[in-house]
Amino acid sequence: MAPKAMTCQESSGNLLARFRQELSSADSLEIEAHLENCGACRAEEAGIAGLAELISSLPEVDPSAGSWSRMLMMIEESETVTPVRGNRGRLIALSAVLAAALAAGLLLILLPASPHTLTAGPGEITLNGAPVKPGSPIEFEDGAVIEAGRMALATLTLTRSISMVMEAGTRVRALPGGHLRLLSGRIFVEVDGSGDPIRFYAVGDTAVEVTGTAFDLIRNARDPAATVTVAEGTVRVFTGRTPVAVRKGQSFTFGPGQSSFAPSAVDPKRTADWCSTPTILLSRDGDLLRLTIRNDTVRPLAVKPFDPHLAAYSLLVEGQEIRLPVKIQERMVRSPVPADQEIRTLDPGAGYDLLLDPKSLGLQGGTYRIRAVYKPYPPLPAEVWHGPPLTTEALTLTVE
Amino acid sequence: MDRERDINLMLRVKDGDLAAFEALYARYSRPLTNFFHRLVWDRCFSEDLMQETFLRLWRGRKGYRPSGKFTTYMFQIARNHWLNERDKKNRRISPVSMDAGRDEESNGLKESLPARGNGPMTENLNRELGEKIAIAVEGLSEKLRLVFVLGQIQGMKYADIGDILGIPVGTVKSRMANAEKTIRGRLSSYLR
Ligand SMILES: [Zn+2]
Repeated sequence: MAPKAMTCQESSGNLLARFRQELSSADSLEIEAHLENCGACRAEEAGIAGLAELISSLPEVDPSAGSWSRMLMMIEESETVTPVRGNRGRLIALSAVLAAALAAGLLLILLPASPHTLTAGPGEITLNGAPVKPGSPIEFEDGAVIEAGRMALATLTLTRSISMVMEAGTRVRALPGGHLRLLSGRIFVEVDGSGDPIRFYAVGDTAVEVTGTAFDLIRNARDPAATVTVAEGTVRVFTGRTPVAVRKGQSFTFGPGQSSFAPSAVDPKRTADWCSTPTILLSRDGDLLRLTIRNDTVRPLAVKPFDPHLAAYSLLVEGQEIRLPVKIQERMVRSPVPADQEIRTLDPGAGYDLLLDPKSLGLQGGTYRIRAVYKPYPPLPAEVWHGPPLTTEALTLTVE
Repeated sequence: MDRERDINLMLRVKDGDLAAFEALYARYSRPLTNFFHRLVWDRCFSEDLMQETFLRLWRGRKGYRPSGKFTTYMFQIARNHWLNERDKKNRRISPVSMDAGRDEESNGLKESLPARGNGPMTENLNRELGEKIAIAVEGLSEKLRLVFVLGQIQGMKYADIGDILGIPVGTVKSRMANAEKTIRGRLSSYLR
């Protein structure tokens, strides 16, 4: 017996399924029979095909170039975040992933443009958990994690014109192509404007491109967003859409959970924060002059050694500048003062005294007004974070 | 057969084989990105969601049991991840209302929809059309939307969609028809 004729309602419910080839052949045949005699259902069928065509005209999206290498890094990151503070676990996990990557023939994160060389500045720096001697060049490969010590600022000289100060505990990772990603913490970057654009990857794909600029970049380990604050020049932030220009005195937060969609003016407190410099004092101590360098701030500071080559310390004697120490002599230095080449870290509250015998300055008899001057570290063009040279009040000195 | 191969790859991934993971990534990162793109209409965000899904896959590899298709397993993870992220009200999701009937002021879509075509003319046309489609899809309820979007990925079958979403095939069929009809209504001006 012939099947009971299908109603429009039954047909309509099955048209899409038929179009998507989800119907049994028996059901399909039934609908075809109905379609032959029903213009309304034929029109609906055409509509279904039309929509399918419309939607298939939407472009497909491809994962971006470098997608897999970022995937590898995400894996690595997820496996290296261990509750254990020690570097050992991190190193083992890191090398396990790298070994697996090598075994899989994925040289991607190891080979291009590596090893890179940077110069480690003052402050403790570890490379993949192993300590790096301050002042020495360090070599590292893509994927390496560079971390500033827990106690003090550390400086990395990236190129001749770019240096980066890392706040205590800050971690960065080397990416292929010589780029750096800020994993957590805060960096200060200064570029002297001689070219050398550089990119920091702050959150996932988001790149911060810098030229001729001073800026800082903060990223908390817990908060996936990052904030760039510009002290000088302009920083461009690439989030995959239109680049955002962040100008002097502005800050911009980006990344998942971002709080700003446009740059905003900087809180003046932030600028004050950049100006962390040691306190410098000049005073009398019997027949001697006492020069005091002291950290009255709340964060560790890098200070220069008493080295005449660095010209960090000097006395201004009525317009005449005398570098200190004039000569490094035991009798001149009356306190445990570092008179070597090492740049020191001063923890909050700590300080050095330098006792000077005025006779060693070689002044003729007479009365002088003397001020001490300290050029904060590092002596880079942008002075926002470091301030101009620090000068003490004048001290009157009479030489027989 | 694809199905066997995927399961074997995933079993190797379970033992920590990164090369096998890369093979799965090579094959499925694109469809997965497109799945998320049809939900969030933001290229970067959809890639993030795709990578986070793969990260979940990797981190949960030891619990993998080869029952059913690998793609079902993968899209289940993707769906769960999506529902989690959506609940977080992540601000990167384009600010289009989930309510039905919205069709104007779609700030997020204009810039995130990829352009298509060769000349500026077709580009503009496709852009406008793309926005309309995006808004129509966004306007669906979550239940309808997931069924509809999954249905656009690699010609996925009703049975597979049912497995991923944990609903009977009959429900998939009716939701799909419902979603399709709703969207067709909203895009009627583009359909002859
Ligand atoms: Zn009919």
